[in-house]
Amino acid sequence: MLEISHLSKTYTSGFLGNRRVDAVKDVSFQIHSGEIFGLIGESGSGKTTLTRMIGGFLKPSSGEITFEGKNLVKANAREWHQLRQQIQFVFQHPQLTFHPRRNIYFACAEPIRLYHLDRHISEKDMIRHMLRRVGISEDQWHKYPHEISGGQAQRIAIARALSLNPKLLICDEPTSMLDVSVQAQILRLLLRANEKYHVAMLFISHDLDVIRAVCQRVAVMHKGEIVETGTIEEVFGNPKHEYTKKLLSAHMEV
Amino acid sequence: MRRQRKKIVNRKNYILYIGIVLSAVIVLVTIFAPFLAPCDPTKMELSQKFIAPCREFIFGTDHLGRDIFSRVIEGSRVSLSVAATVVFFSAALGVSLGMISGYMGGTADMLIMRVVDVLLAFPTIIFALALSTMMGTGQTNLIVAITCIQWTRYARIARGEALMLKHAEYVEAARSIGNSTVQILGKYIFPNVISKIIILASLDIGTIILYCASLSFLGLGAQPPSPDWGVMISEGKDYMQYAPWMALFPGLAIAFCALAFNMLGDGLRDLLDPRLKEVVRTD
Repeated sequence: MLEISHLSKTYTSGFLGNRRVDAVKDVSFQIHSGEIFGLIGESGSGKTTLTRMIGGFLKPSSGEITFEGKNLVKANAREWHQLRQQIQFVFQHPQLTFHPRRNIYFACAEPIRLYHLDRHISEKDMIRHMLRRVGISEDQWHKYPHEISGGQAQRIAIARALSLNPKLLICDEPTSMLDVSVQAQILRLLLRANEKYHVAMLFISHDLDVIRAVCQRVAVMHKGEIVETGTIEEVFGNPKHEYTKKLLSAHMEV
Repeated sequence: MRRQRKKIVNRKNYILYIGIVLSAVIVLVTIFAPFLAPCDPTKMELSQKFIAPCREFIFGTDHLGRDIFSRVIEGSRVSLSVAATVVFFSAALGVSLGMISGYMGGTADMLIMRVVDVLLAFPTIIFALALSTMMGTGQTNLIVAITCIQWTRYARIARGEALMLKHAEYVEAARSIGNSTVQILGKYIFPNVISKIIILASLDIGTIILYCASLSFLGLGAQPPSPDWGVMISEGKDYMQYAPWMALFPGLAIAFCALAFNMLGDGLRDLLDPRLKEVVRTD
């Protein structure tokens, strides 16, 4: 469904661009529909750069991103408007995901208004329904992002992303800013969405336990490159690359 | 320590309150000028020229026997309407170009910012002088000339803000949820830019009143017999020795306006700019 081939992003600086940093280097992988694909890597390994290229926020230096046969790198603004409905994001900092001066209701109404989803059912009913699914009651509607907890904010962010019925959900460290009990809640929510609506996910984390709990296949990223790809059993049970071994043994010691 | 901190906060607030009161006085005078002026500001009475301030003419009369008090009050209309027009158009132009420049980046950004750099390199008054000489004198040309320069300051601020917010997570989230570039600029960037712009605009009104008085003084703005403060000072300078009140009162009016709007702007900045508030708090 999502195919990434030989994707690179190089930042250049200095006179004539002679100082180069390879943020992402020749990355290739595929995500099949309905699958949860994990991406592990320490901070600075290029995970977020990768997601920003998939989301169209950043132009890749070279390589292709294909989503259901459509080349994302060459898509224009109108095509992106359609694509965004199918590719949704869950970000790392839940409270920073929302407009700080607008309340929760506004945040949840935005996708409905932008994609005219309220043809058969009123906007209010839709929001009531979508927030009830994630356990947010009506008295939270008029709160501002800073007035709710991180866990609540992340649940709202997920509900908002799912309201567009996406085929792919890109979760960029969705639980790293939350404490453990809330983490489990969020993971359950994501797993349920995967089961019920067959949403495929690109799940990024540096937490090996979380990856092991939710993903079917996983890729390990190190210094902008993918060093190993495989099923959870293969990578965790029988790591082949030096870096993966190091990562796993470091995790064991802890 | 604690007492000192409290003092700082209070002083800042006073500036805002005084600024609001003084600016309100000016705006009210401008609105009700025809009712406040005791005489027709352009009516000449040659038998009554050069009368020193007295009970009947509290600011005195000029070389053509016109009542200076009425002229100063009417003059506020000229100055304030010019300043408001300039601020409105410079802010509109500057904010839209600045937001586009900051958010789009790339070639658009480069082009806009190079133009801004070139314009900022000129001292405003010199550039306005050159433009007014080219386009001819008159109030409309004065407005165009000052706007041509003044918008760059708004563009810079709007660009900085847009650049900062461009990569904010909530702006990217808004994009991912399906907002177009125009919607992002309108709903997400503009509300953050506007509070900075209000501060700059209120500071700018004082500055523009000064510019416009200087240009009128040099004969490039409003023309006599219009009761413009710059024109009045220009006329008064020839009689400085035996009728100093002719230049004094319009000069005081300019100073008063500049002071009022600067205080308003300063006060607003302290109120609205969170960075400055932080400095005060940690003092």
